[in-house]
Amino acid sequence: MKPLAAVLMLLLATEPTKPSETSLGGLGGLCGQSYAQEDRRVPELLAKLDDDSIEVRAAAAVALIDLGKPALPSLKRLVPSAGVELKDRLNEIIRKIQDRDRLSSLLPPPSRISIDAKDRPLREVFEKLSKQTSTPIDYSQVPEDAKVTVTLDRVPLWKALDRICRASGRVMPEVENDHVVITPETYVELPGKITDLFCVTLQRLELSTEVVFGSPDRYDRFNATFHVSWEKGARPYHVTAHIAELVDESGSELVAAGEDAESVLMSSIAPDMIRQDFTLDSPHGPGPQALKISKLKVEIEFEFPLKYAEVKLDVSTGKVPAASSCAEFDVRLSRLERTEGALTASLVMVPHGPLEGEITGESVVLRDKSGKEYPAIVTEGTPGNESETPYQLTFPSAPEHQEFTEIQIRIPTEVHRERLDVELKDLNLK
Amino acid sequence: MIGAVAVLLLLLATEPTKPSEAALCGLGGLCGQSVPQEDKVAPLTRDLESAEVRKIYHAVSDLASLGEAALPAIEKRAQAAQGRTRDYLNLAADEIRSARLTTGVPPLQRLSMKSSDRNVVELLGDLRAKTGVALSLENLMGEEKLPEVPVDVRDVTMLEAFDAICRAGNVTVTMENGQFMLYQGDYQEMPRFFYDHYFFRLGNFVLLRTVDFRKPAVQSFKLQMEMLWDPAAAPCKFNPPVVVEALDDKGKNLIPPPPPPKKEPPKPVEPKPPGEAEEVEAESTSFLQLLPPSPAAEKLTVLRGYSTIGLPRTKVSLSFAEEPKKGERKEAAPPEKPQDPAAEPAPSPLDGMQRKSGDFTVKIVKVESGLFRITCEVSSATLKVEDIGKMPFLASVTLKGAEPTRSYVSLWSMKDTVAEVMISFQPLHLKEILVKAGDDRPVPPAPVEKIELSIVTAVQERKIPFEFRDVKIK
Repeated sequence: MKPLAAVLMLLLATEPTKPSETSLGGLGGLCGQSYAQEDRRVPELLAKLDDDSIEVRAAAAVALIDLGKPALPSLKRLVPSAGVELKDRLNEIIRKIQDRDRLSSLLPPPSRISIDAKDRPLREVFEKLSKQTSTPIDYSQVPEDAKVTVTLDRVPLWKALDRICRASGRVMPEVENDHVVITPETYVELPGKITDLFCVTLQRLELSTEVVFGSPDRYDRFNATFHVSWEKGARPYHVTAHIAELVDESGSELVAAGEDAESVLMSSIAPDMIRQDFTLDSPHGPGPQALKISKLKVEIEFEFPLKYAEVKLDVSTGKVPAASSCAEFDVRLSRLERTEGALTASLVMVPHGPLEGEITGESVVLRDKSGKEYPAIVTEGTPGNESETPYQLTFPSAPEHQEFTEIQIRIPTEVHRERLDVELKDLNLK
Repeated sequence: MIGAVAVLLLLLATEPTKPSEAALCGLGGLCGQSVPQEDKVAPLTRDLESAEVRKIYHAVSDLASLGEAALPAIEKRAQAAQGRTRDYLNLAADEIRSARLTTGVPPLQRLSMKSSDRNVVELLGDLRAKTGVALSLENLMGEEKLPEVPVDVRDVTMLEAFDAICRAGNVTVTMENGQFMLYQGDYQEMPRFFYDHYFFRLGNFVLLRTVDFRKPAVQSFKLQMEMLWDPAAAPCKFNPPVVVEALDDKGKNLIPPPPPPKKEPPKPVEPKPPGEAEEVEAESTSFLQLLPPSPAAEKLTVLRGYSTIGLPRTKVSLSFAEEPKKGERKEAAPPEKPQDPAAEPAPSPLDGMQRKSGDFTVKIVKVESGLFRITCEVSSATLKVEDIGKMPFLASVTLKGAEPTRSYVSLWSMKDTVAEVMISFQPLHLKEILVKAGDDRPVPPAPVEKIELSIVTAVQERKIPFEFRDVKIK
């Protein structure tokens, strides 16, 4: 037994038996599970943090993060006596749990759906569900004669939707840009992963071979289109994703674990969006004759801002304002005028060090005397030197004869990254 | 668009119903000869049953060149024939009918070339001299001496000879804005098909399986096909190609079944003027959508079809050239002073010149020889500017000393009642020796001497066949 185990035995004896209620609502928390069961897992998981296998250690870290706040006392107690490597690991887990906790206070709480229906009209069930979530749901296309029997007790939204549709068999949940539509079609279980916060579904796979005449080369490409959805108001700032592993039917690794696969980044996600699509490509595919994929693993990372740096430029005189700065960056306007009817400006930002975010449309807002806000369209210019980034700002909705007071520029300086691994096995391509 | 269509229809209606004598002879018809047409049609029809694709289409071409006089004999044979032979005879008959309605397309020539002691630039220069094809050879000229390449072609079209030279000299050919672009190296052995002034080649194919997990997976097979042409017979409109026969070596028919009829009741359709076809925009590069070949198939044994193009049928041409002043005697020009290329070029005497023909007025706004472009304004007494903008334009630009160029026209902008079009041109340097100057100084632009802008007021459709055999897919 390793020295860690002795410490764990002690922890096991002193671990509180019931975590606080608030921690359960945290991001990715295993809500709905028994508290006592979670407590028992802590020492087991802590023991696994010192395992010889990387996979075991990583899985234990993820599980501890998922446990959230209840695991914090045990983790903190272990830090002083841990070796260098384990101490780093523990601190990283503690930081992530705390970040999640901070984030949960910034985001709306996830919906918990409770329904007990026995052979009830499907529309009535969706009506009940709609009343328990702020995410808009259009169930007008649900067949009037469809009935369902389903029991849900504090089930997260995406799981609830899936369970109702599955129980009915006659409808599918489709996530549009800013709302969910229940469509009348035979239920099919799409490959994917549903967590308390996110619903990731694999919508389409394309396997192609391209041959250029006169060339001996063949290009076998693979691409997978996913939808990722979240509840209204829980929009991430950025989403990045990449294929982490792709294995064909014969066991050949087309994308090997640990290989540097190209990531796609989705940014500028509009505030009312609840869905984002992304297509992941691999230049090595199994070819269009393949009938099965043994394994497809995708890693998705969601970024949520925790803290912002902010400056305000006084535009009340209608002239180019003086430069403004905060601890993280300086900004100055070199031009503020009407161009073809729209209020436009040239802005230069000088960061004092690396920033988590950049200036995007949602970072810039123009305010008038009454406090009304006007959004900006932001285009990045060509930097004149390494330390400065120029931007062109356009406020298309700013009325001509309005008195404006300030332009506010807000950039995330601290970001919480939430990772979601989606591992799909034995995908049928027939 | 409706306005433009109306003009086109008007022109269609006023077309003489009986071809003129001149038109009958236009295709190299055998006017005045007394040899019975059947005697000429019979041996060519036998060639249509050849296993050699090139021989078949030369026979189609030769049948078409017999002209109107042979039409009854060809039609009679088509009625009695079956399968491909009937298709080829019908094609020859179509060619005869459409030829009398096209304008400005030069008759097809066949030529022979044999050489083993000339390089690719010299060979292409020779082809240019023989056929008048607008080829710019500048890209191929370098400081290194080009190797001599052997070429031996007999009784071939200009494009067949052109391709044979490029293949021998390893020159890549692309077509941009209706003009050939030549690059040294990377000649690709693509499946090729030549017919008349046209040349098809298959670029690539994509076999695709799409899985959406809600219904059975779908496979598709898409071939990219590109059409090239002699710039003298440039199409001004393309319709998507139609495949009439596609088989793999396992005997699978690759033609997709027609889509099932829609269950919804047909929507009321606005009545169209008679003769107005559905407008389908297409490009010279298109994709042939076929069923996926059998998994064990190694080649496509046959891929046959046609592409319908539009050729100018009637056009309004306006010519712009500096007119000699009255009493001015034409004298030999004094030797030119070397021009500083960086200097501001003098305005062209053609700037601001305006010409009117029929409904159309064209004004030369600015000739920019240094940028190889000419801006013109086109307006019409009866057509809306949107309709002018949809009409195809053709241009011919001649530089000082009757130096020809290759040129193309693009619509630049539309304002109020005027369509602004841009003529871009490139000197062919036919009179220069085919070796690049030793220094890197830019050659000063030659002044533009003459501009001819044509507005195509009606187009004639023509079916251009393609047929590929034994296309390897494994």
